[in-house]
Amino acid sequence: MGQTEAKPGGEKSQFKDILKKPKDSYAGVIQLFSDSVHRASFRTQEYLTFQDPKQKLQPSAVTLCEIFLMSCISHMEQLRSAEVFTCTATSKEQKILLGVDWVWDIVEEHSKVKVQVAVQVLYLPERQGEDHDDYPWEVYTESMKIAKAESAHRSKVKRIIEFSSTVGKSCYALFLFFGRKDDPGNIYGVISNNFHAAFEWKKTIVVFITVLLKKLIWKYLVQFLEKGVDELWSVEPLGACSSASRAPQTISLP
Amino acid sequence: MRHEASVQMSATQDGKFGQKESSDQNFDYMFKLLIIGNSSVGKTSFLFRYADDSFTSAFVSTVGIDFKVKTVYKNDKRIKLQIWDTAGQERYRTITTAYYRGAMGFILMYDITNEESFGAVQDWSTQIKTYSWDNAQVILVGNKCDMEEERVVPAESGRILAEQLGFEFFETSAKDNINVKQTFERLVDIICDRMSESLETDPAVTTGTPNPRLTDNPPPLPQANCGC
Repeated sequence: MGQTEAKPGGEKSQFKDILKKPKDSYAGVIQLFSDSVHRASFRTQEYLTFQDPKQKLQPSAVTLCEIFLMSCISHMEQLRSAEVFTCTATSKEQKILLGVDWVWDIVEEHSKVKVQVAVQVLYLPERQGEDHDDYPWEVYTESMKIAKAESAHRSKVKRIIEFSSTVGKSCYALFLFFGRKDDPGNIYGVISNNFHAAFEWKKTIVVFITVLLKKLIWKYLVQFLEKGVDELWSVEPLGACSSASRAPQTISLP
Repeated sequence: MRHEASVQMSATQDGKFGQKESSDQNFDYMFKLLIIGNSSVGKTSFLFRYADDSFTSAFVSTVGIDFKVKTVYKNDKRIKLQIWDTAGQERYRTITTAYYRGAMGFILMYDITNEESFGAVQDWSTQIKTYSWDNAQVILVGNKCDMEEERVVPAESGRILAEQLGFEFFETSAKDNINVKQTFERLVDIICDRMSESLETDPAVTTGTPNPRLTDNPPPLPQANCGC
């Protein structure tokens, strides 16, 4: 139905096409998207790098995710872009079932979705729960446990990739890395509408990578995805927390 | 033989979902229900009204699929309802139909102010037949009956279509809380009736289920003594 055959090296993605056309009416929307993500990244970094002198306070993974999302929504609201750009935060059950933390839609006339970006946030191990669904097991409600049981056979990463590939080529999966082992204060992003192909092609390697991911050797995942998915268009820091310029860097466009 | 019916009849007393909330662990039966229909007919509002007794007029399109759990009582039996709220948008169809399997009941919803949503009922019915099992029970629901001035689908049309498709029929309003609870209660009743028929046909379906049948003393419908 909505599923599209994933062929790396095939036709260019819809998202790239949009981004490449400066005169396209969506160019402004994409700029807005970029600005909002950077604003949110910058804001989140303030908390990501926060260190309590008494080592009592530390924002949880869920809190960081909410700060990012609230900052992003707030910025979009200020620019009154809700008509073309919508953000839907998923329920706790949906996060578990689909592996999606929230969804951005670029909407055209008659509320038809033109491009969709499904987002999953990944954290450094000290912030991430055992089950990689971001919530400590003790706060799981009954329905969250049912959702967990329903999706137990797939990793959270695999769930969002399946979601994206099932919806179709217009749906992109964006992994936001809140920190990296050798750069814990930065936020990174990797996006594609073709992660599914990478996983289908190199299942054996993916198993290996998944193991690595559990150990949170982040850069290996990114490197793998760079090589395996040619639609990949961004593996750059979304913000910079260090030294001279604190202004977030621009997402690299193809 | 209707062995399939027993697949979803969970008789769980063993704390499958952990120790935190003891009330969560104990139920006699679990029914998986799905709400389907075109986008914006009010599926999510319908579920929120039933499960949380809340309503908001703001429209938020459902991403893929979501669900809520609610426990009801019938003849001293605890029935846990796993109610799955599906996205109506075509782009999510592959995801949502994957959840049809194993569903015991469907609420097929249209919007009485939207002719197109009513016209799609036949297609949704076909989807149920394609992706679900034969004995799944279906109730056709015409939602938003509070918006009488904007009605374009007469109640009689809904009734006739339901009859043709072999479904029961309700007009409802999630906003004004009309017939919401009744719809779920009726669906549970129908499923229980069908289960009872299955048990009479083949008592073996209760293997591993130490509970007596739900309808040992089948009450007349609508059920006066339902504990819901």
